[in-house]
Amino acid sequence: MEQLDKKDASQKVELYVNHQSEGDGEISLVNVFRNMGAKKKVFLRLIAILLIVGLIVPLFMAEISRKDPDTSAVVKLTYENVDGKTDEEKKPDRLSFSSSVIAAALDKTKLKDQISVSRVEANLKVEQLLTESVRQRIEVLQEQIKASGSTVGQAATIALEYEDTYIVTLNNGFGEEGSSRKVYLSSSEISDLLNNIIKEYNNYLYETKADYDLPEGDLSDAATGDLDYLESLDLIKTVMTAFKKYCDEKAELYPEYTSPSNGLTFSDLSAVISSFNDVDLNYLSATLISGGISKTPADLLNRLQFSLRNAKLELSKVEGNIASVQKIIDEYKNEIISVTGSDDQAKQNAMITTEYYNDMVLSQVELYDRQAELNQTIADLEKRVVAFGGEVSPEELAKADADFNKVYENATEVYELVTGYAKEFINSDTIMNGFMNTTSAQTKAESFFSPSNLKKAVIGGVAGAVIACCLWFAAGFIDEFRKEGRENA
Amino acid sequence: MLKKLGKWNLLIIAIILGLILSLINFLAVNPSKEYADAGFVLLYSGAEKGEAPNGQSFSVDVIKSEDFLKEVLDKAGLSDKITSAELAENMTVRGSYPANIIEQIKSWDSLLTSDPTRVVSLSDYYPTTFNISIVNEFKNKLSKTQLTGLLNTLVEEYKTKYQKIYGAGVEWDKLGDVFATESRDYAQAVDLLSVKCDLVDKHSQALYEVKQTFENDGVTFLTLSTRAKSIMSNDLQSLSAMITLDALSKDTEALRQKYVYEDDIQIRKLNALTKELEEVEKLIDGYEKDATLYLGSGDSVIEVKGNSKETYEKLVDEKTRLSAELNEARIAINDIESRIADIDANADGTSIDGSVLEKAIAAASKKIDALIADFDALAKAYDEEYASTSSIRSSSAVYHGNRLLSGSFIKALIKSEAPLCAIALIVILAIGLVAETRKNGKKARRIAKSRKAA
Repeated sequence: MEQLDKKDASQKVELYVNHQSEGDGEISLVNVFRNMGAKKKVFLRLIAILLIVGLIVPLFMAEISRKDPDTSAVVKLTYENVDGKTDEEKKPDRLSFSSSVIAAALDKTKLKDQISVSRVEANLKVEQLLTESVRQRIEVLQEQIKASGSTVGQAATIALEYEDTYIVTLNNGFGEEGSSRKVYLSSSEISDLLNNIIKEYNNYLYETKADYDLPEGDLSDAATGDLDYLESLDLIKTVMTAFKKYCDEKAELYPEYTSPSNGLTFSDLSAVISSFNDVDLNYLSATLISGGISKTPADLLNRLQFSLRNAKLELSKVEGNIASVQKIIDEYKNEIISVTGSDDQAKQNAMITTEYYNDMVLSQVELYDRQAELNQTIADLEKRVVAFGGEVSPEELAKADADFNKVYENATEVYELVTGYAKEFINSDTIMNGFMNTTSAQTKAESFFSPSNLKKAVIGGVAGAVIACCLWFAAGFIDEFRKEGRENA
Repeated sequence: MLKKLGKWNLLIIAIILGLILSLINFLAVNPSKEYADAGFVLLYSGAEKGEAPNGQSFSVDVIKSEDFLKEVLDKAGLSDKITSAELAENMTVRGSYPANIIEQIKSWDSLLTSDPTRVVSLSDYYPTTFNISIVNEFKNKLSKTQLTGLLNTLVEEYKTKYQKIYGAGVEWDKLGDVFATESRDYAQAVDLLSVKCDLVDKHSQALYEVKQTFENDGVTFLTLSTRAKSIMSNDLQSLSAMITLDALSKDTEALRQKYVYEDDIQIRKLNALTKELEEVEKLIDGYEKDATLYLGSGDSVIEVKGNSKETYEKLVDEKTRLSAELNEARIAINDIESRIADIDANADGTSIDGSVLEKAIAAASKKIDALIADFDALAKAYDEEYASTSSIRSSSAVYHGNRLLSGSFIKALIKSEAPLCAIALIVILAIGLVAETRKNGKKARRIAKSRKAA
């Protein structure tokens, strides 16, 4: 470079710093960011707008597309006695809800909007679960089919076995068929409705299948003045026999049941009745019969003789029936089945009894029972007829009266104990809830403020901000691009 | 107009509008239900299997029973305000289940995969946590204090009831005067004491089977059962022997009459049953039983038969029953006739003093009473450990109502405020954006103009 000796006003100094030659098409990032900086007030506002829109829109979409909740419950059908035995005959075959059950449940559920039984029926789904072993076999078979494709024949031999467990689902959205208008229940309403449906079904099972019989018998007639002492005692004995039979049956079915109010069992009650019969009833009966003690001996004797005659008449009728049934049985020809085998085998005959024949035989057994009962009754009445009819002293009568009142008092205590116990039992959990184990209705209602909604809002907000930033960068870039274009031009 | 408003005034208007809309919605259009709820947790072992402390199955249904609710209303002093039926209608009792209980029940153990994150399968589930809620939709609405008071009373009464229902105690006095021995003859008294002792033995055995390890001061239910058996086999047996063999009685004639009466009954029964058994045996002998045919074709074999097997078995059952009853009758007759023979043999009287016998009976009765007292004490200790109020933990009632500071109102407020505020902010920002863009545009035009001029 030439050294300049003196200044020359007309000379210019051109300084080149990283200069790119004109017309090469490159964009300066610094200029882009400078352009962006110039527009920052505009685009910061835009970022804020798109951030807010990005936050709100997903929440809004979640709200309008939010499905009103369905609800489900698990129901396991069973009929378990207290000791865990399952009475197969009592167990319900399968789970199904009739219109009356659903109607009763709708009556009991408070709903803002009314819905019809048919709509609830349409939205109620019952799914019975396959047993675990069947599901495992199906899974293994599906894998085998995938692997080899040759086991389709095996698929047909898996017998489907079901558990007694059901998933009951009530879908939300109740609308008439063909109509787009649907009624949606809130989370608590739909749960309450399903719980009530299951409860009403349980009540239906209770009414149709439960052992809610009460012991039969009434002691009130025994206390009236119309009956003599012995007749009253007979009435008490009949009631106590029925009560003991009831307690013995229940003790066998529910051996571990104890009353919530007094802790006693059916066996305890049976023992109380036996003690009463043995210690109170028999003692007084023996005293009355051996002494011929009666309020009105002549009247009692008449009644005894009348009863004896009736018993004998009935016995002769029963014996007549026994004879005629026996004749039918003896002369009855049961069916003969002839079987001819293939390949010229000899013909074989075999006798098969008919239902009619077997019914006749069993009815004969019942007649024998009745005959035995009547024989005992007649023997008892004959002894009584001999015992009664004589004179009774006032002292004997007074003692008998006092003894009878004491026995009647004890009988009333036993009667009230057993009937109260039985009434408590038929309303107990053992009977009322013996048909199923169920969970309460489970509803999965998605909250507006759920983590997934908040996550969507955050993602939306971030996306909005990113879009705004991209637009901002694009604006800065476009400006620089235009400037470059102008300079080239 | 927008300029006059000022940009932030719009936001303030949005906030106020949202507040008004929320208030209207919360208080008038969709008011939330007013209710109180409380919970309780079962803490004893076995609750997770649905068992009660006494081994029976646990249920909360007693909470909604009419009798129990009547007691609760009486205790809370609200019987004249609401009925037990109304209370039952507005009350729910629910067990708490895991959120994915349905998935757990539906799930099953795969043989092919063992994904550690899969849902654990469950065949049964029994809740141990329960929630009781009472909604204040009675005809005569309750105040907040009354509602929470009622629920707290209900929970406390239930804890007491729970102890009674699932406790081990027995109310022996409910057996009544049937077991009173004072006015009875000696034989009657001893029979009654035997039955009573046997009842204590059975209850002790049953409780021992539920909790074999339970003891209090070294006494278990098995101890009590052994004691009961010992009283029956030693004290009562020897009294029975003395009374029977020496025909001891306060009224020998009445006792003899009773035995004769019972003997007659048994003899009649024996005669009737003997005849019946003969006839049933004839019926069985004459019964034509099916032949059983098997028809085979190819791979399958078909059995052909009628239903004679069932009928035949019923006949045999009947025969077995009659034979058993006959045996019982024979045994009873033998026993009664021996007693009658003993009375007849001692017709001239006995050397045994009746008062000695009465003292012995009283002593045996005292032993049984002591046994019952020990049973009651042990049952009480058992209840305190397994069925006491400490095995059930409850929380106080919490009121949920139409309060403005309640969570539900705040959520509703946010739901209505947020969109309005967002729209207001967007409008404000958009206005600012437009204004800024215009300003920049004017500035750019000014710059361009000045460049041109230059």
